[in-house]
Amino acid sequence: MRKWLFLSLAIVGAMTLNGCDQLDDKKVPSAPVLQAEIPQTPGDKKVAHSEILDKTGESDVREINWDTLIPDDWRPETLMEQYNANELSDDDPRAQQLLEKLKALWSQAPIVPALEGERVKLPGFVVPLEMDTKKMAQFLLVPYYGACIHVPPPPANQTVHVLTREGTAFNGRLFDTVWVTGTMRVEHLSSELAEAGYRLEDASVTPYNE
Amino acid sequence: MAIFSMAWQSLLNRRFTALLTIISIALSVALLIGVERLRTEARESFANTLSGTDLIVGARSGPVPLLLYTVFRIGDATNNISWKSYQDIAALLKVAWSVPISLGDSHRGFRVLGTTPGYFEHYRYAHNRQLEITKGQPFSDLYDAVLGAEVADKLGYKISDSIIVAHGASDVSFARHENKPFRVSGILARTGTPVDRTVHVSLEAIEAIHVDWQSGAPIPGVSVSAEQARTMDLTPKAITAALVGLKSKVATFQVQRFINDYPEEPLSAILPGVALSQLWNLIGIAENALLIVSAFVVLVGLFGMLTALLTSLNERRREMAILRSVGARPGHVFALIMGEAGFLTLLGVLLGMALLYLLLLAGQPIIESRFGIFIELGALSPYEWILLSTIVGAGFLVGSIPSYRAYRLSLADGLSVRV
Repeated sequence: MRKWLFLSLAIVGAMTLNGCDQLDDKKVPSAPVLQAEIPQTPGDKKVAHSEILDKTGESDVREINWDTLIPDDWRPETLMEQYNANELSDDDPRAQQLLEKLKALWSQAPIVPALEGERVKLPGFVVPLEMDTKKMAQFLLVPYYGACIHVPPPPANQTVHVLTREGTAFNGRLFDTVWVTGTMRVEHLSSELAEAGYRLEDASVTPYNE
Repeated sequence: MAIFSMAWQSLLNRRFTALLTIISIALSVALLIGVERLRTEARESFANTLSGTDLIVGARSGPVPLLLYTVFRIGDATNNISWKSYQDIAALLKVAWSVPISLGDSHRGFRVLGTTPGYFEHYRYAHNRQLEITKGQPFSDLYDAVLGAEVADKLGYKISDSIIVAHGASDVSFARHENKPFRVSGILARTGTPVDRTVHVSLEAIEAIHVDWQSGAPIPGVSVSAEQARTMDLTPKAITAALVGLKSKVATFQVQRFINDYPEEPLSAILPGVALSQLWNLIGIAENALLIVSAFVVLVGLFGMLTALLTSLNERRREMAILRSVGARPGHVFALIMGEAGFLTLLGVLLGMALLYLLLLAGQPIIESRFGIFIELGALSPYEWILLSTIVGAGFLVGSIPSYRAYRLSLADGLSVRV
């Protein structure tokens, strides 16, 4: 009885703490330095492959972080340097121009095609796609807490559509922190705009712990 | 065996207090499990209402109100969105399908929803289940209506019956669209969602019944007949909200951002799953408070039993002495009181569950028609089993106090009891 009461009190406490307004820019810590240098071509892959044995007993899974999903040569900050952003006042028409350019660059959000077909493990926050969060067969994985509620939302290359392995629906809640292990697929969003995004198929989900 | 019948006779002798104890435990158990049951069933019911929709688009407001008025028909829309904005969103490359929704009218307390035939194709509930028309067909004529199962059941409508839509959302209405009656063209299968309590008509029909209602009331002297309205341009000017399905889920945030930043009109796009999670976060606090209160009620019920048992000990000292004289050991006395406490708790729990199921059975139709929450009379969930066994365990724990006291007394008193 007492145990149960404590449990409910703990739940109430957790609920109030989890409130949406309490946003402390919780970011998933980046993966170990070991993985910081990411091979860009499939040929290089074998060399830098850090084989880890994942909780699901799978080997041959590469642990990646969110930076892995952004191509190395895509650097919006060079644009900032080019415009000398710090010296621009807010009223400067060039500031507006820069903002528009940044927005455009951000929305392009190129992907890393080399990841296609690779078995990877990625940590992140869960954003449910369906109303029934007890049996999530699919959800979106995002790198920061509060995505989708606060603008701006993450760009396409920082959002992963996770499809869980058949018959293993994930029972969780909004912004649960999880490890997702699955096969990476590069998905083309629209043929006209050459936009693409990531999808993790056949995925297994485990709670995130450091 | 003799000891059981003796214990039973002793309990019968104190049947009044015993019965009161059982009833107080039963009531508290019914309350606790009832609160838990309503909580989980309401969640289940809400979660099963909409499926397969990626974004809900409406006028600028919070995600929770938008979800409540579009999907659950709770509360009213903050504003409408223009038909042009809707067309722009529907034409986006990343949008696979979209279904407009127009609310605001009612029929005898049931909301009327204006939409397109696409609604019956794209609206999904409870893990991708499609709406099914059991009788008739979706609307083909301007003045056709498709009824939800509950509407048809409660008001006894059949195919081809004529119904009149009222302006506003009240059960009693003085502003009816009497000159434009609708014909029931189809009746939907029961879904256990707010769709059951909705009258579906076409968007053009919503426009048609309002052509002579320009500034919030019928224009005096101007009456457009049902037939005249057919010849008019019935393209809707505004809708309440839209359900949107995307070609790719990865694009969800991009489309959401496009809609939220739409320059011509302040709009909101929400992810139904996220909005519902936010709603639960909000309600969760109240739910837990309610659970804690009912847990304390159970505690009070058990303390009632403790009091009853302790007070009975004094009057039973002679009984114990006699038992001792015929060869009962102090351990037997302990077991006797313990057994009684356990028996009372168990009986209380059983009675409480019987009471709860009876109440749920009686309350089921009322809750469904009032709140749209369908309560399933299923077996006990694992969590409820844990709760119940915790209560029984707590009953034994509470019983150990008077048992221990009786054990001590029977050691001290022996046969020389003076009452």
